[in-house]
Amino acid sequence: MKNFFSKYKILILVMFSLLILSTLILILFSAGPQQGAFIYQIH
Amino acid sequence: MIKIRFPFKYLLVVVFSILIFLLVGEVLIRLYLHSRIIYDIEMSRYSMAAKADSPNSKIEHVHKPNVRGKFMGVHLRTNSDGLRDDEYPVGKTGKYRIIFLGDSLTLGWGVEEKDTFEKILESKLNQIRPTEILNFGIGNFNTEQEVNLFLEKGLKYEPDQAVLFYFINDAEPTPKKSKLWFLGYSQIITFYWSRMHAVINRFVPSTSFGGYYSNLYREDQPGWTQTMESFSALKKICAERSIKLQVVLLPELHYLKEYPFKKEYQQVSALLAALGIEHLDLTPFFKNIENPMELWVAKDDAHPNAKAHRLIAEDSFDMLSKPLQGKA
Repeated sequence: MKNFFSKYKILILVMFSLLILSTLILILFSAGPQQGAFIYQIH
Repeated sequence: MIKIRFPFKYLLVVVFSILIFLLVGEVLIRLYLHSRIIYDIEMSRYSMAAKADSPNSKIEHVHKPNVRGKFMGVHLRTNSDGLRDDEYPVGKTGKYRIIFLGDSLTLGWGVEEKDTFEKILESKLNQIRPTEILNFGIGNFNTEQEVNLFLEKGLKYEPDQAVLFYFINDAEPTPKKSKLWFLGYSQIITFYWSRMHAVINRFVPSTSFGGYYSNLYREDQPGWTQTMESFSALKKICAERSIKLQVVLLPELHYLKEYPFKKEYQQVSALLAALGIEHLDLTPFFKNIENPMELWVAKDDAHPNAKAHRLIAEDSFDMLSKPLQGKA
């Protein structure tokens, strides 16, 4: 397991950075009053 | 032993990282939601906790009976018949009985039960004569679902009057349950879904609420055809049973001064007039509201709040009370 992390730590760090960055961008660009219609995803 | 080939190892690491990220995100968002409310997540929680499939494909979903929960910051309960209301016996009771048909606006989404226009009107109408109003509002209903719920569950209460509260999205086709419905259990996935929708709605004009709603009313749209047929069926069944039928058109609360759906509501009004159904469009009553957001449940939720419910009750009272006073 230790070997696994040390071998792929760069890729794991890159992945986590990308995921955090994309989440922040998503939150930033979707902030503000509701723009969309009442669309529901479950029913 | 099978040796995993080079690219698959990297793919596995990528998938593993995403899964761990989502897992951590799920924990964090659940902690965040202890003190904050996100509309889409609340709607998803309501769907998972309070809705059940209906065997009738024209109804698609109903409320579960005896639900107790808190959604969008307010308490929501259902009675043994799945109505957000008190228990009512079937058949005549000696009181004047009205059934309110509608969607999440009639349900009173984001508003405590005592502050809904249904309860305010019940209290006001009781000053004229003993009256009980049954709230048949269910989130995400369209006209076809409302009418079929009335046929399936409403008639047994033998109402004297039925009022359908119409909203701009009621001409949507009857929804089908998503094959990915189980994703609603994950609040982080619901969160990403909701944020992506918000971004798309903001930057792609054809998906904005204005274009989306207007498109529903094109003559070739199946939802609009369904709506016309449903109103016609409702008119017929009410006429056969001497039930007074009325329709109230509720305003969409984004732009009230220059209402963007005048043409669509005129189209609905013309249909109702042709069918001989008494109706009232409330949008003119709201045109002097300076800041529409003061009527919203939250800034990410344009459902009417308690103040808007009070206005709806005040503005529709005259028409709704006429049959009780023997004026209709």
